[in-house]
Amino acid sequence: MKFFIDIGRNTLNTVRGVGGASIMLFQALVGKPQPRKMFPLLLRQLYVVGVQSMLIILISGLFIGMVLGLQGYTILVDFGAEQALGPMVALSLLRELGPVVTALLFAGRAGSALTAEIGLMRATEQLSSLEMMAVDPLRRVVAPRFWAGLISMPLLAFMFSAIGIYGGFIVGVQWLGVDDGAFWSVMQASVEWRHDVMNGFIKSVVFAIVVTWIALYKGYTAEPTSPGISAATTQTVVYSSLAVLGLDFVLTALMFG
Amino acid sequence: MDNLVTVEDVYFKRGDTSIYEGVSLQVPRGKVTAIMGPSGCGKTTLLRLIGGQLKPQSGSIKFADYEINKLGRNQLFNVRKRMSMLFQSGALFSDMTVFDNIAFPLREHTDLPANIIATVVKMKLQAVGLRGAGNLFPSELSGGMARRAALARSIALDPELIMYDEPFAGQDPISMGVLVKLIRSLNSTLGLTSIVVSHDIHEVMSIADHVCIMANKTIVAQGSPEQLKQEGNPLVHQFMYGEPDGPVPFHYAANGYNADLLGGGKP
Repeated sequence: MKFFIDIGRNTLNTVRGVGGASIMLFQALVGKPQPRKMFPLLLRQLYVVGVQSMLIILISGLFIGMVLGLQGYTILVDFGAEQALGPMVALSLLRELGPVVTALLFAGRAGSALTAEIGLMRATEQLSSLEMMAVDPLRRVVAPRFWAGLISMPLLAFMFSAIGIYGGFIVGVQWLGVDDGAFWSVMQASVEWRHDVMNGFIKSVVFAIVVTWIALYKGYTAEPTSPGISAATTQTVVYSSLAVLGLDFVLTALMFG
Repeated sequence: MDNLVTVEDVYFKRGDTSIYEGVSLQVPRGKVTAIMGPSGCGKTTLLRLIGGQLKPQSGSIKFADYEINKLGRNQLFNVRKRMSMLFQSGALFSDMTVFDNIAFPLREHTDLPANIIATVVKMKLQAVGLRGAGNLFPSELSGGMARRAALARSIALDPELIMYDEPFAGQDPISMGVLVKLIRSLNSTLGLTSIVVSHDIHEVMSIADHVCIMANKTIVAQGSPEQLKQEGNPLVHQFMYGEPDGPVPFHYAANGYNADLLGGGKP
């Protein structure tokens, strides 16, 4: 009996959470646009959320590309197909690893920071005091961070893929001796703009929405105590990682299945 | 008497815990109204209800001509431009200087040019004695200074009502004296109406025109400080004179002491 009660309660809580998160996002984004006030806030958040995440994204991308080059070469060379290394590296990065690993790193680097920052603003009554000053914290605090996440994650995913391909090039061509011309020309012939690049882009936009949304909602509704904020930060990373991996399967099935 | 805020028969629950059962009180315009009561009786909650951050389950809360608990989101934000609140922590924005903190509501709600905003900010800072501290960040201020800076921010838009949440909590005697003087003098010079939530009886009694005592989920007495000192209610008496035992018991509810000690030492 208790089992059924738990199922019911968890379902209700989940539905309530999704509903609350949707209302939060709606109230944050829908309303009279105020470009003069919003733009400086957005720029600042783009710097914090996007530019400051660049280093970890670039370094991870380089290493993942190098590993792909190495692993791909050892498999392909057995079949005499090492010219296919270019497309293999490029396609795995553009279609999968670029958007997915960027989203996971972004959740750990920027998402957790967003949650902790907003949770602390709630704990120190800064959000309440904004409300009492007749400034809507959803428009002022949540909205710019959401747009910043949405804009920066696809760009970061492209940087990840680009530097990853370069990493594959370093290992495959310069170290293991795959033919330079073959590496690039086979890649150019087999990567399609719409099918590969655009689908990767759509994936990273979806992940950007999900990760930023979870991070903002968890921060905004965090219990204003130290254990509450630490739990919210953990939940942000766990939930967004799971959501990214689950959604990635769904999107891959729809796009390439 | 003309009342700026009227709270009528408010019932409020947080989760399953009932906080208020039929609270009614009046805040006369232009006066300092103190709300006192034992800690944990929900004094801060009352301020949040008046500010519209919480909604009561039943009853009505009126500010000027508006029924706060019935307003929509946009109307509520409009009404809030006429009131302000000094939070217990000060709630200064930690990423801005004191100057920018005080300029913040002006920049948000007015189209004044920068030099006029600077003038207004300096006047507000002068009023709380912090004109020299405009360039400091909140982390560089002492607790008392942070609260004064927050006070300057809350009067930036010249509100009609200002609500102080425990303004004296954790202050040394000097800054307490400064705050007492500021609350009283701002109220008279700016023609404000003030609500002070506190349990520092002597400080509050010295500046309040009207006092409400809250206990047992309702208002047990209200009136002028002199009236309350004469009040026959034993609970009010206990509170006003700080007696350790009385209607509010010293001991948290427990089984009989003897039975508990002889009962085998279970925790």
